[in-house]
Amino acid sequence: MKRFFLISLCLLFGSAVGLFAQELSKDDFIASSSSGSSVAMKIGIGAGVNVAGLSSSNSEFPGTGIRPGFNGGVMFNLRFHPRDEMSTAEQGLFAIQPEIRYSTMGGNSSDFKLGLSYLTVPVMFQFYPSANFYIEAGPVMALNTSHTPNTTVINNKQYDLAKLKANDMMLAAGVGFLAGNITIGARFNFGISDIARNMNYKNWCAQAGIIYNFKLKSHEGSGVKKDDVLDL
Amino acid sequence: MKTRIIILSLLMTLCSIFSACENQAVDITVTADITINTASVLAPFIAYDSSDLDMYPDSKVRLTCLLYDAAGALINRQDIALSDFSSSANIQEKIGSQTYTLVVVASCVSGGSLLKPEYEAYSLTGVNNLNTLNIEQIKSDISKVFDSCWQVLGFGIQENLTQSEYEPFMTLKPATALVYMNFRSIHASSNIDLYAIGWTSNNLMTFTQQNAGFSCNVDGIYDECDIEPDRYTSENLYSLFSVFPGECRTVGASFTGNNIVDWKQNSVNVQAGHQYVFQYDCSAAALTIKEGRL
Repeated sequence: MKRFFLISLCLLFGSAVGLFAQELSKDDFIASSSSGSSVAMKIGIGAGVNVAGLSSSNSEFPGTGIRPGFNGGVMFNLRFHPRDEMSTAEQGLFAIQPEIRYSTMGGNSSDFKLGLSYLTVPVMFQFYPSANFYIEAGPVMALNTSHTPNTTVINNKQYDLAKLKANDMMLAAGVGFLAGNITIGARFNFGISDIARNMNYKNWCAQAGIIYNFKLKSHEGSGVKKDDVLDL
Repeated sequence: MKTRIIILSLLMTLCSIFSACENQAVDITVTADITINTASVLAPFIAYDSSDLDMYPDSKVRLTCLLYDAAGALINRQDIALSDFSSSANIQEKIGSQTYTLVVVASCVSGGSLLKPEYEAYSLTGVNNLNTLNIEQIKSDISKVFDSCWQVLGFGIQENLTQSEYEPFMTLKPATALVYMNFRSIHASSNIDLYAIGWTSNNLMTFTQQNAGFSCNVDGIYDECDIEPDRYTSENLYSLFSVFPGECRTVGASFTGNNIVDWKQNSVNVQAGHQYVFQYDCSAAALTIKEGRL
């Protein structure tokens, strides 16, 4: 069931990427017509705070309290599908935002504390109901980079974490608001994978942060040149 | 078109690989806290005369806890000193994800250290592997045998010990058969003597003249066993021997079978100038008495 779900997710994700790529290839970064097909690209750097925890459906693993942390990284935003013929891609209805983000997770409880650090690669699909407000969702690939401590005791069992990989596939959803070059956003991540085959904890992490954006490139349907690079 | 295919393929591949990969298991160790009850070792015997099963003042009970892995290799050994067989002890054993066997042996030692006592009732050899473990009675210190529990051996075994299944309480069982001699009508001063006799490693308990009280012969070598029939009675010499419960149990090379030693009684006419050898076969649960002229 889980495998089916993940495959479906991948297909959905792939379809969305394909849609985007199709949009991208329509004009191949060249304003081809007045149809409004165009892409606005931004790169951003951001940082924020985390509130993370570990959850489990296995009664052997009690849920943890929150573990505060932080996140930070770079984001690449591709916004497309202008709202109408008069608008630009910067005010498009959709965007895809791949990111590379360092994030601390884990969980604290009265019995144990487990800290996990991840290099995450979210690929967020954003929908803009209005020009400056978006809701987003997407998969997050999370590569575990470190953990503390090396052993932990849960319910009288001592877990030797030397072999802990704790890589994760997560789902994320959130909202954000654009104010000029600044994006303020909040996001919730929920892990799909157990952090170890015999340690049935799943990550969850709520994030809030701020991104400063640099415009990279914008191709408008009204005839912007192919190699325009703006405002970097 | 090419860009689209590359991006699509790359992202889908990455996503698929990531979602399909399952994190490997980590090593889990469970600390099993086990209470060991040694009082059960003497429980079957004390109904007869508990005062005869006291410890010697200079001796103590050595509790040896041996943890073996699934291959039979010794993982951990703990030796604990107890004042007597009425005490309990707590041991903590770290259990990994495999199946273990825990063997606990309680026997008497005196002097020296727990691992190298000056005197001990049973020696443990071949402890590094379950298949070579051998527990053997030491018969050199005869004086400690008489009227005490010095030669009593207690044992307990938990096989198939796993993280999810272990018994928090281990009740040791006697592995010693006590032989009770009732010198009816032939012993004026004390008509009840009690002897604690151990067992050997080959399932055969042999009670010979080497074992304390059984060294008696009718000529009377030891004061404690001064049988002088002609002096007190004219009846036929008569002794009753009873083997009290003990257990024979399989552990490595030392034990075979799981026979509880039932009550066995037999009698013999003791004659002057004869030696009496009593053998108990654990497998057959049979007591035999052989006699021969000294």
